[in-house]
Amino acid sequence: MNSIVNFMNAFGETITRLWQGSGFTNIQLDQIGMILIAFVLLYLAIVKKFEPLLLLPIAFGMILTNMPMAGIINMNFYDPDYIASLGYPGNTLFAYREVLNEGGLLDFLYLGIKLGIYPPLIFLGIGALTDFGPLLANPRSLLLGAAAQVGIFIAFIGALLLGFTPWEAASIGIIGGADGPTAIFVTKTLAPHLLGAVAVAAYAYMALVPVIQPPIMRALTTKKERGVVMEQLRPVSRTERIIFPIAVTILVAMIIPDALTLVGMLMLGNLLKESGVCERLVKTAGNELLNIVTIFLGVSVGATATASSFLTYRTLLIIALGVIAFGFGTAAGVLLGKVMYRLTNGKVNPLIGSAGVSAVPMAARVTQKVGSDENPNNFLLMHAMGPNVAGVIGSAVAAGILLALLR
Amino acid sequence: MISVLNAGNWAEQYSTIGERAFLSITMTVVGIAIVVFILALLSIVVSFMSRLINGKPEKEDTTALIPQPAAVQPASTAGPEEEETKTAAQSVSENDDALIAAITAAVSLVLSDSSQPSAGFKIRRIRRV
Repeated sequence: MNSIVNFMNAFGETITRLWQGSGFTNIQLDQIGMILIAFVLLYLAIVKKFEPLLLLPIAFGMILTNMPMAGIINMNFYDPDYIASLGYPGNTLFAYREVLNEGGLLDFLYLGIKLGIYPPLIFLGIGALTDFGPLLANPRSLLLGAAAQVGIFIAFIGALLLGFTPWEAASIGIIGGADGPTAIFVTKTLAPHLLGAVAVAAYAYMALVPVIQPPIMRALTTKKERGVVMEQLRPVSRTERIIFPIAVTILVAMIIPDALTLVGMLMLGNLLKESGVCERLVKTAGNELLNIVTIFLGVSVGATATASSFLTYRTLLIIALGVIAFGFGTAAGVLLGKVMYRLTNGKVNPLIGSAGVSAVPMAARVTQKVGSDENPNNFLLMHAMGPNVAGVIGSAVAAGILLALLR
Repeated sequence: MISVLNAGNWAEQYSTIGERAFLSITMTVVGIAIVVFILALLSIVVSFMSRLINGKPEKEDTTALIPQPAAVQPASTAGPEEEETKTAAQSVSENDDALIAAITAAVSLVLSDSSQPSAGFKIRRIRRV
């Protein structure tokens, strides 16, 4: 009889201990909130198809990191104050002993972000998939790509006036570049505690380009301007396509060395493609490598979005400033397009200026759609691809400038 | 100003809205100026590069748009075949180069599908009839 009682007591204690150690008794309200937000992002990615390649891994990373008691990632290992308290030298990026001895899977995957490895590799893949022909056929597109980066700096001003530090403001402003890897590359250096919010905002707004841009484009242009049919682009020789990435790399490196990491990898990928002698490397860079890094990047970024860092009033401000950055970037590109329209006596359609935000190829498609709404026989897609790919270079250069000024 | 900006002292140096506005506008002007400068320079380099590689683009020939009085034709000593060749050559304009490339590609594809040798196949001219 005693043994049965002892057994029942031990059984009861075991069950109680298991229950108390489970997620049900340890989950916090804010973690439930983050998981619900992750569900919304999953809905946007899967059902609405909003940038699913990044948004889905980010959303799932958010679920993983906000599960109670899981400890799937230890963000302490990357916190400067915690690192200093463990006795590491002042410029140590992460607590490497603790990561090696106690780190989980996402602690290791997060190193790709912390050390700035993933965004350049993604740019390598993007370069291998990008055709700079429309840009080379119409070099003025580079100016439209430059104009669209105004949104970055307008958001930077707004963020600074709202009380963010310059480093946080730069990380928020770079959302306006409409370039996810660039936003992550800048934020992980300048304001890593904002990484989750900035990444979610950047990729969500990239997917919302078809919603955000058209009203601004129509408001700033007349029917006549929207109906301009542009001359066919000239064919671009192979020699130009090969020299272009080399020239861009050297020029950007000499002026803004901090931009070299992103621009250099973008141009390397493009040179692999245009040389025509590295097909296997092009296939790998543009497919397998890009996909692997995308998965690791997305899950790692999502895992930084803990309740304490994401569910704050500042996240709402970041989301609002992101829209402002996008809007001003679009407006600035269209306005420069209007200036070009006047200077060329109506040969340039101002709508292509909106494609200077580097959401490739979505922004160019939006230009085509708005142009064809006015004139169904107007094919602006290839003309808009020039500013679109110029925007990729422009946002990388802007990122390099922000890093040079603030690091 | 920017060189002394660090996490420790920036809040003390730029505590008022006016000072923050000054800092933000200064950095904005510098940043946009550098972005525009670099991309404008790239634009010039690309234009220069294309001229170097492709040569100066030919100015559009507008004389064809203006009806010319018929020139007095010299007595033709060429045979009918040569005259036909000249007529055919006149009918092939620059725009036909793209058409020739497209037709060559299509014929090569058909020949390769039908296992006939397509090597050496070349379209020399097009004559519209």
